[in-house]
Amino acid sequence: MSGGIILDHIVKTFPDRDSPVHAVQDVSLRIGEGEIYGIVGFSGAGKSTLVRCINLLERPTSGRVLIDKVELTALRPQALKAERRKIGMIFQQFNLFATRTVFENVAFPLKHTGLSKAQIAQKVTSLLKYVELENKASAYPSQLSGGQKQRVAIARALATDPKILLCDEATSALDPITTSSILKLLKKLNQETGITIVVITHQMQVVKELCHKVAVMEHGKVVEEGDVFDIFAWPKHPVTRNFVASAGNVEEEAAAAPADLNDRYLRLKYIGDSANDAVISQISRRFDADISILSGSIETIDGKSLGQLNVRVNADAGRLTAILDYLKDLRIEAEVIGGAGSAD
Amino acid sequence: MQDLLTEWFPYVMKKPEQFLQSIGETLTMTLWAGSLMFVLGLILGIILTMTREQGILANKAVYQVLDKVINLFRSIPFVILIAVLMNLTKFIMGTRIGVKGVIVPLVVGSAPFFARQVEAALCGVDAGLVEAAKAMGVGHLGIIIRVYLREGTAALARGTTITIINLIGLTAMAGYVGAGGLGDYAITSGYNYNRMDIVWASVIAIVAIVTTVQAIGALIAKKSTH
Ligand SMILES: Nc1ncnc2c1ncn2[C@@H]1O[C@H](COP(=O)(O)OP(=O)(O)OP(=O)(O)O)[C@@H](O)[C@H]1O
Ligand SMILES: [Mg+2]
Repeated sequence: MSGGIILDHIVKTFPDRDSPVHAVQDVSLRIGEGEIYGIVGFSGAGKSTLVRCINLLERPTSGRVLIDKVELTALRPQALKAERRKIGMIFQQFNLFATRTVFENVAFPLKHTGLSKAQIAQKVTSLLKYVELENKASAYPSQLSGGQKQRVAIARALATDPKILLCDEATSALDPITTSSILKLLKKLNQETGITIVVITHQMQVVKELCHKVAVMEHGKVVEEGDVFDIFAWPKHPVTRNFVASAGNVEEEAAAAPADLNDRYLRLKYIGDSANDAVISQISRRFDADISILSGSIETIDGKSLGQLNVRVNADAGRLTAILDYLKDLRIEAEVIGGAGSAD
Repeated sequence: MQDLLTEWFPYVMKKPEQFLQSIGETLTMTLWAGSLMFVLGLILGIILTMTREQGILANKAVYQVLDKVINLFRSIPFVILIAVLMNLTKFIMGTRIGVKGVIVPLVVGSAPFFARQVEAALCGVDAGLVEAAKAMGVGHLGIIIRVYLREGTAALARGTTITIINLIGLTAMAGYVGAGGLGDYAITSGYNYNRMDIVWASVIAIVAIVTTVQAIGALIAKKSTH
């Protein structure tokens, strides 16, 4: 497995005068070669710290980091420097050198790599072409837009032909359209070169559009992990549900709606075409229940489609149970998310 | 022209070579002490920045000692410093007097201040850039030269300007050890004999030197900002 990352029981504690900060608490992850792996979580969850442990910008308090079976945590400084050239990194604030041109920024990591001036020039030019900035080679970072800056940062990170690219909130400072264009670039890069990409983000859009797998972090721990599709379809941990729900929020609607004793709000989920609007009318007839569709969507996540319907059902407890059983038979996941009869 | 000068600066023009020699002495002292101060202060400033808590070579002991020593030297008045350093000067330069005799105290008197200027300039370099360079596999020396010094050039130029202007102020006291210079000329040849034209001529010369230094500093700062 090359380009693969193994994090083995990573712990990172920052000593602090009052009380130590347990930023990462025993995290073990395997990130496969060529995967785009997302790490999400709320602010302070320990995402940045964990990712900085991958290239040892932060040295774990305990635990091992292995890349291509090489144990980074056991390397001497000189060997570590060489390994770091195989791991590119981009940041939220771009971190371009203000006194250097775009060309010089991209050429920066190529110094002392044994390449001739002409080879460096050729390499930088082809990288700038790849990120569609060949006409900006002699511009300074201050003359670029945020999206262009991040493209330069990507070109610079790719200069040493890394097998892994770490992205810490790489699109958080960008508007949605620019974000999309950067995500497309990263996706293309992954498809064309097979580079492994680790993406930290708090934007679910990024995970949905880009990632194959995702880990959800809270208080320094990974609370849920798996294929992006599964996580979106069947989130288990409350934090994950919170993130997934941030797309469309029916809970609010349920809370705000005038209470009819028999009103229940359901969220139905199905993969592909296993259900559609026809199901609703079927249920309505079969169980003599009043069902209205509040909202619905079909999303494409990592290449598969996930349908979601939010409905209001007017039915008593007995009929509701029957409806839920029926849905289960149809392999439609139903969740009661509010209304007079909900669990609370 | 000649007449006008003679009318306005009668005593200066009586012995113009003395005036020119004083300018020469001030420039010599500034150049020598300035160069040595620059190297020493730069090294100290770099050590301070690298060894502070957030630095790439964090070392509490080194930082604390250097920090205290720098504060100590900064608090000693220059005139006293000349006296305190007498023996060291003799040891290094072979003499305690003349331009040679004043270089050591000038360097010791200005390098700590410059070290602080360097520290401030380098601390102003975005930590994210250092981080990015580290992630690219750049070593400590590379980070110091290619990131800190390069990205901090404009701030360093400004700090150097301020320090050299201070240094020129210190050279005015070089008369104590017979090093001459414009300060000495203004007092011993001018003020003491109530020959105020000599005082004014010295002031004009010093203002001209300071203005030139400032202009060069501003130019470098501007050239290195994009
Ligand atoms: N150098 C440090 N010294 C002390 N504490 C730190 C340091 N870096 C991070 N922490 C603490 O570790 C915890 C995790 O921080 P981290 O930056 O990894 O979170 P994050 O998930 O990336 O958050 P965000 O989304 O805001 O970037 C926080 O409580 C933070 O205050
Ligand atoms: Mg972070």
